[in-house]
Amino acid sequence: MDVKQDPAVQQEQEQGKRIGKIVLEVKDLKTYVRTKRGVIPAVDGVSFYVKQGETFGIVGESGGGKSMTAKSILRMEPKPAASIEGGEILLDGVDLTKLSEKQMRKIRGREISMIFQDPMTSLNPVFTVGNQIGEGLRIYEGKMDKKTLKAKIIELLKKVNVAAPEKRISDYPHEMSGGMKQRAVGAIAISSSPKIIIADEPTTSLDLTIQAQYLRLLREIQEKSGVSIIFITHDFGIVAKMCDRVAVLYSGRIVEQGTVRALFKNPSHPYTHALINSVPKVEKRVDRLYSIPGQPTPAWERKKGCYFANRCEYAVDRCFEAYPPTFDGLSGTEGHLADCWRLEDKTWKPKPYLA
Amino acid sequence: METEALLSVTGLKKYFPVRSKMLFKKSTTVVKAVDGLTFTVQSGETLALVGESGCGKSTTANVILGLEKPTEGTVFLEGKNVHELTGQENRTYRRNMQAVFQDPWSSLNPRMKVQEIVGEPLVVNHKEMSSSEVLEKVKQVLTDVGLDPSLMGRYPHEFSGGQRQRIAVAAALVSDPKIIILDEPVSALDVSIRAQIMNMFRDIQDKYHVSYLLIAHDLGTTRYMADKIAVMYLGNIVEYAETEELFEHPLHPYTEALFSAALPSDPDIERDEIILTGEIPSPINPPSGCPFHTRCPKKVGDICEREYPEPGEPTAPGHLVSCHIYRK
Amino acid sequence: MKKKPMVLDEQPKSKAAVVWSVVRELPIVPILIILIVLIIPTIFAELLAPHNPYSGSLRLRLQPPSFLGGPEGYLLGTDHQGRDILSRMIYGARISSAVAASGILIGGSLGIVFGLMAGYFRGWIDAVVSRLVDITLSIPIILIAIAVATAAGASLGVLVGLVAYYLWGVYTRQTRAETLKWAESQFVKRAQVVGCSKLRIMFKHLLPNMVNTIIVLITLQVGFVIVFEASLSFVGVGVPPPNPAWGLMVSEGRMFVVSAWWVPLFPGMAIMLTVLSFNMLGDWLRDKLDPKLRQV
Repeated sequence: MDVKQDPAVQQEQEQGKRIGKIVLEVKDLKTYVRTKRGVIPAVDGVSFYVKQGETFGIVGESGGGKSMTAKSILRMEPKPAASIEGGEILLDGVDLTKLSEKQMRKIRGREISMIFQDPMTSLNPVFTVGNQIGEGLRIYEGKMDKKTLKAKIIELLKKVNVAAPEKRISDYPHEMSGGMKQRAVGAIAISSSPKIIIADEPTTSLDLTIQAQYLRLLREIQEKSGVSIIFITHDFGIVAKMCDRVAVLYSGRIVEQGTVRALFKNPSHPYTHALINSVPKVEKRVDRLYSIPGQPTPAWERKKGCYFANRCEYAVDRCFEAYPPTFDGLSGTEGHLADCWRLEDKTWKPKPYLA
Repeated sequence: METEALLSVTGLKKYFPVRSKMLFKKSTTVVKAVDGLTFTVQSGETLALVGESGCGKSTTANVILGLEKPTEGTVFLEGKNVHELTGQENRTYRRNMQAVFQDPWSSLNPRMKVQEIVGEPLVVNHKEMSSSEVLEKVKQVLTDVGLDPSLMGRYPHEFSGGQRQRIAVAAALVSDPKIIILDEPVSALDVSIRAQIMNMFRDIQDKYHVSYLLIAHDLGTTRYMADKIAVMYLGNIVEYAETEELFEHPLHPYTEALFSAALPSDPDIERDEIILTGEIPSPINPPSGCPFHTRCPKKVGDICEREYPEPGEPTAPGHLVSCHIYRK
Repeated sequence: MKKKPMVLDEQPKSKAAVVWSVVRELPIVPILIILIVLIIPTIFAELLAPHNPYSGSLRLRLQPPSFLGGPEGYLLGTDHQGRDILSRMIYGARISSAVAASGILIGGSLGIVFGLMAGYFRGWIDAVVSRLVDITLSIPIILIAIAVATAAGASLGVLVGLVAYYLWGVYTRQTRAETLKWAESQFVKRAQVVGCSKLRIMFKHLLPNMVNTIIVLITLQVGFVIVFEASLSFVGVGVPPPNPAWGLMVSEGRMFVVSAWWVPLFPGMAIMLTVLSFNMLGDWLRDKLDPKLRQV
């Protein structure tokens, strides 16, 4: 396969991105959910930050709490079954957990916009594309005359690389190709000039070639508008391709976070390490995949200690007694954090898995 | 020289009529879901059908499983045409051909106990077996797929996704089939569970010497699981080769584009993406000539629009490609 | 505006506790009403009824309830023939139960079989069955009831037949829709691959998965059947007198609304309470048995 493996090139590309100050900071977020089996912590003290122009990945398996984290940031946790019971969500210094629903409505879609699964179905078939982009613009920027509005819509379509936007503006969704529709959805997502776009598994239902188109579009949008993107995904491939930094969630907690390269090169938490080694590679055939035994323990059956201990090949007695603290500065970089007792020993790391 | 293939599919076509009723006239058009497939699966090997949605891979599976009748062409299992079987022959075919489907949540009847689900193929097709023999066999396959047989009195909802997929595999194995169709068997599972299940498939293959026909869209999964791969586009196989040969030397422009779109397993891997222009054409009116010519970045010329590129001589042993570029 | 904080449960709830929490939510009032007004009288009518429901003494006609100064022993008063209203209501419960049970059993069974066939075989069977259902459900049932009762005479058998005839359509339609939904599921596809016969797929794979829907449907229809029986009796084509059916009692009492209001009021309340209770129970069951809500 045609593979370029040149870290220098990659480095250059990253520096080309304008990464700025912190836009969003989540501190010790706790979201609890009432289930039949009692109240459980779906998000159990999650802390991370996202800088301007940065792409942050939240990766984990079902039940890990990644979707609930995203919903909590938007204050769309399913009430009343779920409720934020602690922590702060600071958007440019404003704590979203303290805002009323009315105030949140001004944030949602405007400051933080959202892209859901299968983005193409989010266009309304009975309105023209221009109409749908303009609708957002009018809400966010107030009334304006038709001419200015049209000019702004065209400008947005140009930003997402739609050819001949003057003509496209009066097209209905069914008159556009799939790629064009993607671009139109992208234009709507940035029409409010949001600070952050939260993309919740936006490409899981898409075919490979369509997914590639879409990911490229998101990159273009980011380069042009400098928006931050939070990617919620279960796919390490997407993280590797798109993200600058990443947090790995397990049972409602971030077990490891850091730059994507640090995590891939030096996974420090046994769970991250195992996950990366359990994904079959396109680039080369592995003899045997690493497989994590068992499955995540449901919250109501959890015992004290590290949540991953019962599936971890490195677990020692201590792991079953108390939840480990967070260690920083792993792999020699600040901001590479992981929760694991074994990391007390600075030289310890999971054995490389030889396939 | 070549032994008879376990499964052999020849010239398979499946067209679905689409009736559109206008006010006064009725017109019937056809969707050409599968448009002339030929391939074989040997005993004990895994063939993967890879392609994007709408390429016809699921329809192919349905026809092979006998759920649909082919419009044209034949499917032979162990030398018998599967669509012309009756009575005992049909029961033998049902025993020899099993399937595991994508969604472990909807592929098990929620109102049946695990032992009933797993034992059903025996109850239906091995009428001579006593119920205690059936139960013995059920226990054995459950153990083989890594489940505790003492749980067989439970209902599916008491199991996790990965365990349910193991139950589905046990039910497919219980009648000692020759071939199992795996229709996206891991794509609905969590990442950490996928590896368990894929490894289990490989262990089962070693133990039972069963063949797999794997339907998949994920390239990593196919590279890990398959011995041979057929890449499908618009109801046709565009390229066919052994797995490593295909991944190392993809020839067809569509295969190249597909591979270039695969997600990397490492952040330092940067591929030259081949972005395809245009849409996948509608299978109602597939393009003339080569089905890929409307989007092909390497189109040779008029011949691509006029003539279907029959695969010529293999470019490497067993490597066939349907493309005018490689025809002399 | 202050909300109560959620507290994490230290101890997970045991299975028994989960079952108990469901039991605790049982709609206890409707269930009690159904038991007291319908079920217990149906079973123990002979033991409970203080008087003969069919004959009374004309001397005691239209007596008010005993707690309003009427004669001792006639708790809810007497009707125009001097029969004890409470006793008639107790026996009336038995008639309502019998009509509802047999009508639903016959109509439901037919409907389920036809619905399964139409939904699973599709094609011409589906076309024929669906049109028949459309016809059944589009002709006002009261018209048919009046026509049939006039031609064949009112009797319990005719009433049950009418109920079954109407419910057949309802059950067929519902079962067909459910069958279409489940026939798409992968476990049915798997059963076909395994080689299960059509009969086995219909009755072993499809039907058990519709049990919830059918239970909800039955619960919601007991109410309908009781009202239906009452309306037919009210217009005089239902249960023939002197049988003590609730609807008939309301009908007979309607000319005394002003002078002896208790004659129509108490059977009317029995109808209302039973129907209301069954509808509440049905709604609750629908919430509980919906498989989507059943997952944690």
